[in-house]
Amino acid sequence: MDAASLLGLIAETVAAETGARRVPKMTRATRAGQVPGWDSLIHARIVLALEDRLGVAIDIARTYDCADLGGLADYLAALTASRHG
Amino acid sequence: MAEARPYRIFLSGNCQMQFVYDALRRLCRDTPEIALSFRASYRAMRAGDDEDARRCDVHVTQVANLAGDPWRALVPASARRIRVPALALPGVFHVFAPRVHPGHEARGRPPFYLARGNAVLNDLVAQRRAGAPPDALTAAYLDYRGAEIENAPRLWDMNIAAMRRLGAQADFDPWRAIEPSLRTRRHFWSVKHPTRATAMLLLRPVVAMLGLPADAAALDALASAPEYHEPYHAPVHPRLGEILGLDWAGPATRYRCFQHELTAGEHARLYIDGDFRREFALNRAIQLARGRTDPGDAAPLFRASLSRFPENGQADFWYGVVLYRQERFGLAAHHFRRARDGAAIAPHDVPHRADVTAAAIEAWLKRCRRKLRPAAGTMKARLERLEAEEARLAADIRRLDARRRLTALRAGAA
Repeated sequence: MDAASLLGLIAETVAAETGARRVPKMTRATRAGQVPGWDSLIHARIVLALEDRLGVAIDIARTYDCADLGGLADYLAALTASRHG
Repeated sequence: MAEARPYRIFLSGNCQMQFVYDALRRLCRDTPEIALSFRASYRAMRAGDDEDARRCDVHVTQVANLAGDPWRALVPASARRIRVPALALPGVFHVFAPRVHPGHEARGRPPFYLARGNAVLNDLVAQRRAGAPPDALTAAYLDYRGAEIENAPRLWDMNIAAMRRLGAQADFDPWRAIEPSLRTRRHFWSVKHPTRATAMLLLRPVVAMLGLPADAAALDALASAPEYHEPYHAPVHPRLGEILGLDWAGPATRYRCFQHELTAGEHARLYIDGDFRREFALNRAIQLARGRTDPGDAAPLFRASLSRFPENGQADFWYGVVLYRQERFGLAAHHFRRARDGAAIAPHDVPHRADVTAAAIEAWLKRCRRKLRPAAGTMKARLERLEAEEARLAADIRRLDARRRLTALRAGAA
């Protein structure tokens, strides 16, 4: 899965886990603090849901190093590529 | 010569930092050279809030994995910074820590918005509303073994990884002391509310790094005081406790729910039934009193609750305020005195809450005394009335005495 498709998947997962009725349009530049309800508790659930959907083990500490959704998508793209490569 | 000014310590962060601030205030109360201020990250910034940040000498700030500190940008570059990790235990409290819905009267209202609710319990609530019996629904909750239980070990591992990362980014790492006993000791009452022992792991290093003149005895007194993060201890689903191997979270464990101690099952039943009115009666009364609504609404709630909570100084204080508004100054003073007595015993200014200070209680007592003291003109009239009464009584005594002596003389003559 490329980074663009992953971005869509992340946005979908964030919307589902935060349960927000109105999730702002997410781009590569979107940061967790800009999405209502995306706190540390929900972050763990988002990562868990992404693990389920991608079939990979995600290093949660590494996800915190990603500055924005684009960074997270790139990290996940590299992770899935190394698994399938 | 430059005017001496205090050393300004500015703290910002969540409820954990509020504990540190309250403790520092206590430790520094006889040190006028130190000025402390705190801004909560969970409250919106108000006009003038930034002043303390802009002129501080030290910023005790909280570091979190996701959120940044909005105050950091305001603090002068020359100010020293102490980074305190924001502790959390979402690995346990990610689900089954039901919130009390802020929009439902029966389930409480703000500010009693608790941890995040969960789909499983909410589904049981829906079934209850459709007429299903609460006993069966509570049993279904306790028997639940779904995804939330299955995923718990993975979320637990993530929690540990996240906290280790945070410890590495802060100026000290309390997590190292917490992690080895995470399964055998309860370190958190809810996802972000630490026990007092855990909160002391934040306070002690801050005191040491600030180089404050706090003696060991004062810190030990703070460590042995009653719990700070009251009054809600999130229950842990027994199956979750079992799969995670938590010694402190079994089916018989009792969790504080405001003025009651409930098992996870009892708590779930209340939640499913959607009726926390009894648990919230006192809180509701206090909320009404704080909201300056009609005192006639709050007074009966206090009367119904106070006998159940005879040592709740917070209740006494707010009932006193309600009575004062009803112009029942004598009774109001009585309850303010009870609140003051409670404040002398409890480490918080008023038991269960830290937001009513001893000084505020004294101020209200003073207001009551002023209202009870008669005006100068009234005093003179009252004195005259008393003197007239005294004269009348003295005349009565003389008359009675004369009658007694006359009776005695007649008896002698006979």
